[in-house]
Amino acid sequence: MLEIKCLNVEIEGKEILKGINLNVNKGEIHAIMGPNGSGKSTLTQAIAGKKEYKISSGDLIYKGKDLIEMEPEIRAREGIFAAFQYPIEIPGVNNTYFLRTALNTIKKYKGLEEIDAMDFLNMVKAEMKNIGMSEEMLKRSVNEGFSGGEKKRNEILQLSILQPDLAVLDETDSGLDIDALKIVADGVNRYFTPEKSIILITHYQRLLDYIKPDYVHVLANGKIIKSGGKELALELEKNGYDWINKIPEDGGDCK
Amino acid sequence: MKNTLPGFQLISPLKKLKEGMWKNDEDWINSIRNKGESDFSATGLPGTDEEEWKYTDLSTVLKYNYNSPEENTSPYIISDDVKKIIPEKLSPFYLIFLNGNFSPELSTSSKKPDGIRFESIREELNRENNELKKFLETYSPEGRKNSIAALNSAYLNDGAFIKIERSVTQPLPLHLIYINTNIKEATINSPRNIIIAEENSSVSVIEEYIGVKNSKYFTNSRTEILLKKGSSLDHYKIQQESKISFHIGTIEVHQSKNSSFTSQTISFGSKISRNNIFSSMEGEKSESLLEGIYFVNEDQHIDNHTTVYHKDPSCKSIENFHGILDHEARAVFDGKIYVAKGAIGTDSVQSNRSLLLSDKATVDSKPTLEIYADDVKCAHSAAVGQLDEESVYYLRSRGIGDKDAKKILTTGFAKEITDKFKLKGVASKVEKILQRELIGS
Repeated sequence: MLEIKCLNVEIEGKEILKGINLNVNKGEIHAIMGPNGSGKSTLTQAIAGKKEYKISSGDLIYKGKDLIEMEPEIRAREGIFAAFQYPIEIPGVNNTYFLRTALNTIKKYKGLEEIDAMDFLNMVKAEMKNIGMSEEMLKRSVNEGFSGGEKKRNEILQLSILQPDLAVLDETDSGLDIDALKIVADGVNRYFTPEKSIILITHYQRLLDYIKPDYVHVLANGKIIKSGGKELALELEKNGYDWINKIPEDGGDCK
Repeated sequence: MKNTLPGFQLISPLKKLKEGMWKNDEDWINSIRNKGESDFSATGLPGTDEEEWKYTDLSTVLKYNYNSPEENTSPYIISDDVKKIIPEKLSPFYLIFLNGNFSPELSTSSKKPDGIRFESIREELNRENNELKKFLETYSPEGRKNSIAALNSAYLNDGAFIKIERSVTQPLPLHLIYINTNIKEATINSPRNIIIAEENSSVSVIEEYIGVKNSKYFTNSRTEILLKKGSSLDHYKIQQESKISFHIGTIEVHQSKNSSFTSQTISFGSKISRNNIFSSMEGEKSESLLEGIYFVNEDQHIDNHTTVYHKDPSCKSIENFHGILDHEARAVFDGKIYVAKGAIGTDSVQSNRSLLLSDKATVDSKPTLEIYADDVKCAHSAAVGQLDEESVYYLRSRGIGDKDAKKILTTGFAKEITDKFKLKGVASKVEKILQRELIGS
């Protein structure tokens, strides 16, 4: 699904990601864990295609296509979805209208029939019920006046409606209490099928109690310094991130 | 020395009107007109050295030779061009004016609302409406002292007369439509509208100004509103005129105790457009909400001037104007809030935000506060900027193309104002026009 090879990403000339290698296959869930400032969000934005995140070298291949020159909207239409850590508020743009426009744009791109307003509304209402969002939020502007938790739920609502093939979830668990965390995790699990892939970016292990990853990677100082199975997350939970600093810097395979 | 613009062109058609169409009018009407004419002649149009007109140069208004409307308009023949541009009526109650004069032919299917006098000024003058006569002769608000108002008085002839009886509530709006059609010769169209809301009455009024493409004219409209105790008026003004025409539109409202006035000024402009909104709260616990949205492009110039007087305690005013500018368009916003001595408990908020779609568009925004009372709450703000890149990216990251994302966000900026319209019909009409303009822009 996604192949990241020796990826270097910089923002305003500052190198943030320094040679990332990651291979995500169909049907896999990869968790990426790491301390603040390790480059987790940069990885999300590089995959989503934010232009300020400049790819200075390396490859980003999605379903065999080079992502680097691809506009963010084309990536989305090709099936990539990034749930952001801090979803932005957009006053004046109705939440329902926004989501239906996004869905129909993607459908049109794929040569599928667009969904009419009534069918869409029924579909959205059913999903909102699943993730515990009040219908009143359909009438509101995108994320405007939403609490932190509501914004995260709104991202998950988009995930379940847009049904991407690859979902990158950037700290979707942060700012959620335990009940909300369970609901959001349920939403992600409902979305997941053997045809899909998930990259789960998180600071804490607790989300992984509800969404079971196949692989766990530790990101520090812009590099993946360790990869393993689910047990690695528990190790991090137990020992914290301090031990990371003790690992000596090396050039990795990319230099 | 004052640099005024004489403006003889603007009053020269009067002679023909007096000898023709107005020949049999009563003396009192003619004396109002004569006073208007002499007051205007004394000063002419204001020049840019006047603080109020610093950013809006009216000298191009004088580049046309003006004729009287009757010269070009046969009241009986309505051409297909005119029929084509008649806008969708938002109510069974409407009056249509053609080049400044009431058109009975275009208004035939209009109904009359219960408890409301809803007529053209011309018809009321023919019927000897004494209340109207008294209003025109004696009710002399501040604003009539200026030359723009004097020019409107010089042409006093038509417009709408609306009087809502005590405690009458009409849920359907009263729609006034002004259509301008003169392509060959420029005309000056000067509607005078009078709205009197008796105690505890409630109504909404829409003024809509449109022009045939390439029609040349100068609209100088004046709407005078009297809101008595506990009454409420929801007023909408939609202006979408020819891009070689000029528009100065004044709304002046005097509010008594517990009255509520809402004004939504929607401008797609003309070549030069100026909206003057003057609201005076002369009784405690009155409310005035002045909002507006404007979209201008090419070389259009739009100027919104608002003045809010807090004369009595515990009144509330809110102002929000959103502007969208493309190409080399220019916008001016000047908002004044006066809080008189003794107007304690005043609550006033004012904001003007402009969205620039091009680097060549310019904005002058000038909020002013003058406060002579203690214990008041006043806030104002002005912001000018481009579309938020983060918002564009968010929409694109969900599959929406760059162009569509920008269109959605621009519309969203306007919808922050239109979503609050109580008349949803007006909101959807304005959004439709905006979509069309954005495609053309």
